[in-house]
This record gives sequence, C-alpha cells and structure tokens, in this order.
Amino acid sequence: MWYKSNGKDGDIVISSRIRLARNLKEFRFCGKMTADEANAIIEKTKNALDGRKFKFINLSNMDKTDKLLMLEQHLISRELAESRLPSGVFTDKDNEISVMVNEEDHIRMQCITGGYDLDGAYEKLNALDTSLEEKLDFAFDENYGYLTKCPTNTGTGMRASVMLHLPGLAITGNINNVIAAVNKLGIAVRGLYGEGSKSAACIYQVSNQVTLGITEEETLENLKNVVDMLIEKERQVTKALYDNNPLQFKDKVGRAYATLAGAYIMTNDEFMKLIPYVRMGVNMGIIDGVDSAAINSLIIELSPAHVSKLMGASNAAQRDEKRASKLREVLGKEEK
Amino acid sequence: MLCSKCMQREANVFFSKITNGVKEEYKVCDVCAKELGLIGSSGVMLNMNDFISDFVGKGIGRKTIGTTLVCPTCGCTLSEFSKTSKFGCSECYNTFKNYLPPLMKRLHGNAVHTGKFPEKAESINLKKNKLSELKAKMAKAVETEDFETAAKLRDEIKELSKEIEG
Repeated sequence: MWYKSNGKDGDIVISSRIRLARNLKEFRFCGKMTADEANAIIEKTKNALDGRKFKFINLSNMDKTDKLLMLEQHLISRELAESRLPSGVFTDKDNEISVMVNEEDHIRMQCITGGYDLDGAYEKLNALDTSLEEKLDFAFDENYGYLTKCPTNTGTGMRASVMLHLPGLAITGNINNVIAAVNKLGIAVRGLYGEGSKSAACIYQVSNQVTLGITEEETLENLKNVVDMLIEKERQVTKALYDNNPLQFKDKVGRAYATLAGAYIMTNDEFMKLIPYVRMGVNMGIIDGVDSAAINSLIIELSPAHVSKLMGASNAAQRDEKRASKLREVLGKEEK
Repeated sequence: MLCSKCMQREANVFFSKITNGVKEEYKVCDVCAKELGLIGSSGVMLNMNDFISDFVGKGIGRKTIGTTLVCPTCGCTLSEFSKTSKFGCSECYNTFKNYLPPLMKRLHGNAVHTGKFPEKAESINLKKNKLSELKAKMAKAVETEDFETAAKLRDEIKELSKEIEG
C-alpha cells in the first residue's frame, strides 16, 4: 500500500499519483448512458485487463462505509463512491494501480506510489494505457486528443498530483501566498481528499490544471519544478522556525506527541491538529522510534471510516476511544 | 446579386441564420420570399424557422431546435452543455465544435492536443497524410495529362480511403 513505504523526499512528499481519463468511443459518456451500457463497459474493461492480476471490486452493492474506506485510501474518488450507475474498480495486488470504471469518465486509471516519484508512476500507468489501447477503442480526436466528459481534462486526460505535508508553511501562515503564486503557474492546490476537500493535517495535493496543448512529459516537468520549490521552501521555513526558538519548537512537538501518545479519548479534529507537529518532530530527529511512513499510515488509518470498519467502532465516542488506543499503541509503545 | 432560390431576379431580402454556430447568409428576391412565407403582403418578416427547414431542407447530420444545437448521438443541447460544461458523448465535440476553440483556450491556453496519440490514431494519421499526398500527385498527373499515372494513383487512393474508414 502506497502510504506504508517511505519514498524519496518522504519527509515532505507523502505520495505521487498519476491519473488518466479515457472513454470508449462506442458509448455515450456517463450521465447519458443506461445501466446496461455501464455494465457493458465494465465487461469490456474486464476483458481488456484479462491476463493481468487485477481484482474487481463491484461498488454497486457495496455498503457506504466500505466505499469510504477505499476513498480514505485514495483508491477511489468521491465521484465513484457516489455513482448511481453500475460501477467498480480494478486494483492490482498492492493497490498501486487502480482502474475505476464509470466514474466521470468511463475509465479512470491511476497509479499511486509512496514518496516523490512522478516519472515512475507515469511510466507504469502509460504502459497499462498502451496495452489497454490495443483492446479498447478510446475516444480520440487528432485536434483535441483524448475526449473526456469535462473539457478541463480534454487532451492528455492526465492529472499528475503530489501529496505534500507542509506544516511549516501552514503554521507560519505562508501557505495562502504560496497557493496563490502556484495557481498562477497553472497548478492547483487542494486538500487531503482532492477537489473541494479542505486541508487536514497540513496535507495538500498539488496537481496540474492544463491538459491540452501540453505533452505528458512537459506536464510532469512543470509540476516537478513547482514541487521542488515547495519542498525547498518547506524545509527552509521549518528550519527557520526551529532556529528562531529551538526550545519553543521542541516544546510544541513534545506536547503534541505526549497528548497523542497518552490520550484515552482522541477526536479526529484534535488528531489532525496535533499530528503535523509530531511528523515534523520525527523528520527533525526530535522524536525517535517512529518514522514518517508510520505517521502517514496513522493519518490514513485513523480516518473515520477506517476506525469504524477496521476497529469495529459504531459511533463517534467509540471511534475516539479506538483512535486513542491505536495511538498509544503506535506512539506510546503501549502493550496491546 | 441574384436570388439564391430562382436565380433570376435581383435579391433584395437578406437575412442570416446561425446553424452549428456557423452564420449562413441567405439572399432571395421578394417574389421568392413571399412564396416561402418569409414576408407577408405587407412586407413583414414571418416564420423564419420554417423557411430555413424548407430551404436548407436536407438538414444533413445535425438537428437544430430553433437556434439550439442538439447532439444527434446523446441529445445534449448547446444550452445544457453551456450550463453544465460537460459533454454528453464524444460526438458532442463535433456537434459543438465551433464553440470549443475559445473555451479550450480559456481553460488551457491552447486548443490543440500535442500529447500522446494512441498507436491506432497514429497510423490513421500517417495514412491520412499519405492520402493527401497521393491526391496532390494525381491532380498534377491530370494536369500534365499523364492519365496512366493518374489512373494508377486513383486506384491507390481508393484503396487507402477504404483502409482509413476501416
């Protein structure tokens, strides 16, 4: 699973993700098609993926918590979770590549990897796209490229995004200026769960906006230039924050850590507020015994649907209790 | 200027109609205009839509409702598209093609794809280039009255066209 590995620049970059949007030429787009057509698309995709080790997860008869679980793991999008058409997702064995069927577009395939590796993710996904192309007729136009339901994806149909942990920029109040500057470069900044979601735990998703008149390689280069700059600024600002008053910095980190490692009731809000300090403390060597990938796992696995489903909590009070107990186990090294 | 219907009398009724986003100008004489119900005896304009459907008649491909475009494949209308900004199917890109360049320019700063081509599209593209090359050659052969070469080229063009339509 992508969030369990600590990749390149893992102190700041949590994951890198590439998404390609494709539609089948012979079908109308989602929204204009029938349930029968939607089922036919699932069938065609299944056949095209034949021979690869993909598992199909049918979302049509899945309960809401299970869908939220997959959403929290970034394996499916909110749009797919809420789709009223027959829909599903094909995933490979370590959930690195997933192929969503009947989301906004007929096919949305993504590759998500831990750390900073956009090129690697693109290479893998592009290979899958090329092999699917042999078996499926994608809607394509010489002038407009890959045809998508929304004109904001027309062309390459590619969205490249990087999930960044930017507590330094957020705490010092620089983040809004940074977002405004980055937006001018054709790069969007969104919260933890993509479009429309607010930032939680100082996590931001940075992605390309332009898909037409630009090659895939240029898109990756542009995004990497911006991400490189963000990584550098975040490191600078965190160092300045520490150098400015080391005692105060360590005190903040230590208090956040002590609360998370020792609490018996932990709400999602409090967790999201404190965890960035702990992650910074881990990166700066103030806290040892845990690595930043373990913190990433906590951020994903202590989200509400995960706690409900995997830890068997059925209401908010139970969730807060289970969340605290997991934190004591991971951070406080408490016996199970 | 002659009336575009009878091609005999001088045209003195001018009007334009927007179809598929393309402005088409019509010029007819007042006799034809009356016949078409375009002007009444008082000379007042009437029922332009009927006139258009009679006159353009054959209305190949796209349907129009009033001045609204409708995609023949999915039924998406221009107003629906402009309201939701979502295409209903890939044919919509063709139906609304006259509206797309400014929209794409605004969204992307560009209106022409430069990224990946599927291998299939790439080979069709090559064939299309070859086809226009052959057509140019044939025109030249006809011009120089080299009919033997022209006939050979014509057969090649026929063959290639078939492949492209595939």
